Parts: sequence; C-alpha cells; structure tokens
Amino acid sequence: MNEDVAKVASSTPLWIMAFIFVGIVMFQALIFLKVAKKSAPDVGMTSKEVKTAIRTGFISSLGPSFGIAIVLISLIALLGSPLTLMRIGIIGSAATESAAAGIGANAFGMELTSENFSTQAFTTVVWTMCLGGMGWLLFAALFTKSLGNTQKKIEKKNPKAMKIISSAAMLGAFGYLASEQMVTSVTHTIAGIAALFSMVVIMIVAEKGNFSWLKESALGIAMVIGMASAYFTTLF
Amino acid sequence: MCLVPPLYLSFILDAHPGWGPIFTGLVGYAGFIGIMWVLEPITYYPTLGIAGTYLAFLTGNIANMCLPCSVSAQKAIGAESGSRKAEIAGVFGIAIASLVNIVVIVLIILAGTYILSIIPPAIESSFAFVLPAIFGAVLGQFAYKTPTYGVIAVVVGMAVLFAPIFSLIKIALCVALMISIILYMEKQKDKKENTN
Repeated sequence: MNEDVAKVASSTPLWIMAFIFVGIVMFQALIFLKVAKKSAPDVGMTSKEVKTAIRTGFISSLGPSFGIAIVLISLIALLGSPLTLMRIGIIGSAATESAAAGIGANAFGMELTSENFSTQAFTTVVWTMCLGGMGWLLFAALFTKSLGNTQKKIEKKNPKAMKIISSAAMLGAFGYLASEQMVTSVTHTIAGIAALFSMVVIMIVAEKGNFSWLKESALGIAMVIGMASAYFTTLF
Repeated sequence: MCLVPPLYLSFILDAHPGWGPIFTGLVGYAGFIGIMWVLEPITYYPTLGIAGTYLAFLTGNIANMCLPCSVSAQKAIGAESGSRKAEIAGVFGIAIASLVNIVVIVLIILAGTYILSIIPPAIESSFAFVLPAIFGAVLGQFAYKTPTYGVIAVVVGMAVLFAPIFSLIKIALCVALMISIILYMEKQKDKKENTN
C-alpha cells in the first residue's frame, strides 16, 4: 500500500465509523439476548438450559473467531485496519471480502497489490464492498418472512439442489479468481497451487481425524503455506 | 448507514473514482456473489429461524460460525429442530457468538496493526502473494470433497479468462457454467445410482 492510501485507510474518521458499526452489531446482539431470555420460559426453557445454550455458543464461537487471525492480518496489509474491522466484523467473511477487494480494484483498472494503487482505487474497493455486502441484508430483511415457503418448494422439487448450486457457484467464482491471479507470474502460480493443495490435504486430515479446530484455521494455514512457498521461490 | 464510508471517501476526501468504476465493481461483485444473496438466506433459514437469520446475516461468517453455534446450542439442550425452543436456543448461540466474534476481531486487529509495523521485510514481501494464496485455498475448501470439480473449475476459469469476452460478465459466466456443469454431472450420477 502506498503512503497516501495508507494514510486515508487508517484515518481517524474511518476508525470512528468502524467502531460505530461494530457498536451497532454488538447492541443488536445484546437486544436479541435480552428478548430471548425473556421468551425462554414461554417455550419451556429452564434457566439451566439458557446457561447451557449461552455457554455452548461461547465455546463454539472461539474457534472460528481465532481461526481467521492470519487472514485478518493479511487483509490489514491490503486494506488497512478500519476497513478490515468494518467488513469482517460485520456482514462479510474473509474469503468473500478479499474477492470483493480484488474485483473493486480491477474495476478501477488496477491490482490491489500494485504500487500505484491510488486513493481513487481504494474508494472503488470500499464502494464495491459496501454496496455488495448490502445485498444479503436487503434480501434477508425483505424476504425473511416468505423464505420458509420458498425453501419448502425447492426442497420438494430437488432436495439436494440448493447445496449443489451454492457450492458450484463458489467453485466457479474462485476458479476464475484463482486463475486470474495465477497467470500474473510463475510465483503467483506457485502460491495459488501450494495453497490449494495444502487446503485439500488439511481438510482431508481434519475430516479423517475429526479435528474441528484444524478445519477452522485451515484457511489461514493454507494461505501461509502458499505465501511462504511463493516467497522461497523468489529467493532463487 | 453502510454507505457512509464510501460517501465520505468520495465526496469529503475528494477521492471519487467516478460512477463508472463503482458500477463495474458492483456488477463484478454481483456476478460472483449475487446468487448467494438469495441462496444463503433460503438455505440457512430452517436452522436459524427468523430472528437468527437476521442476526446471523448482520454478523456475517454464517457458514463457519453462526450456523455451527446455533446448531450446537440447540443440540446442547436437546431441542428438536424447527421447534420454538430450538429457535430461542439458536438465538442465544448466535447472539453470544456475535459478541465473542467482535471482541476477538477487535483484539486481533489492534494486535495485527502492531504486528504489521514490526515484521521483517522478508515476510512483508510475501504479502504480495496474499491474493493467489487466499483464492487458491478457498478453491481447495470447496473442491476437496470432489477433486474433479476443482479441476473443472480451474479449466473453466482459465478458458473464460482467455476468452475474448467483455470482462464485466466473466465471473458471472464462470458461475453460470459451473452450476450447469455440476448440476448435469450430479444428474448423471443419480441416474447411474438408480439403474444399479
């Protein structure tokens, strides 16, 4: 990231906005907790069961939250801290946000990692992420009520279809994005292929040994392996 | 609300890139993930319930965090899925998960900013390969169960990349091609199983 962009990307107003967004999500989560606590007795939940549910939620969220640490740090290097906090703390996931960043930069006719990446290009990235992320919220807000019916209809017609379509869509998108990155140079190809293969190996090992912690940090580990192997080939 | 940061950058800092690139970016994004706007809420709704769906989509990280947390909270108290009790248990799970997630992310980001300022240049230069590494890894995540699909995804990706078409629709085209190829292959598989 060049200095001008870095200055904007970690400027105070962006930090303030990031903390406001994060505050809103926390506030809503607290409200939902309160409402759920109130309605717990009505659905026959004892206070012991409430505690169990809370404890289980707490324990099972630790793994995924820490699992994305490496991905987060590399996104900070690309996008600066406030934007990373804003996007990953709410709505986005690490994989889609990095893809969105790449697409936004391309839309301005630039690479994210290129040296003349400008503040204009950065602004395009922010627009792409923010507008794109709104899609889910709009859809979830507008159609949550009618979702049940749609879901039943599709299940009746073809129970496996939705799972297949969504993973096929991700395969298509990331197949393209990975190809696009890999054709830039031999080193990029090595990074992509090393990450791909280590991910496959990690996932197979995690599945066989039933290690859920390994699954959660798989993305980070595979990334580091990919980046490290690419770096070592540049030494020769 | 979500639009405050880009509006601020565009019009207060005067770094407006023009509406053309913004539109291009949005179309590129929608071509890649637009189908998920619709599919994900439909897929997760039965497990999450109405309140859970809203909260999970606000927090993000649904597939790898909110969904597992909701399910494990429901299982921990033995609530039958689809019941009112399960829905409330799920809300507890997701709400707590959102709070934990945000606290952890804030900690990591504050630490990460510091870590980035002290890392040696050798590691810094490997950050040039973040994107191929992350995209390759995510591709692996979706392909490890059926490696054939992973190979097809790369072949389709390369073919579309080099095809002389308008770049705006390239990702959307890849997504559409993969969906039709995989649906076709799954159908053939089903047919085979039925005849055996």
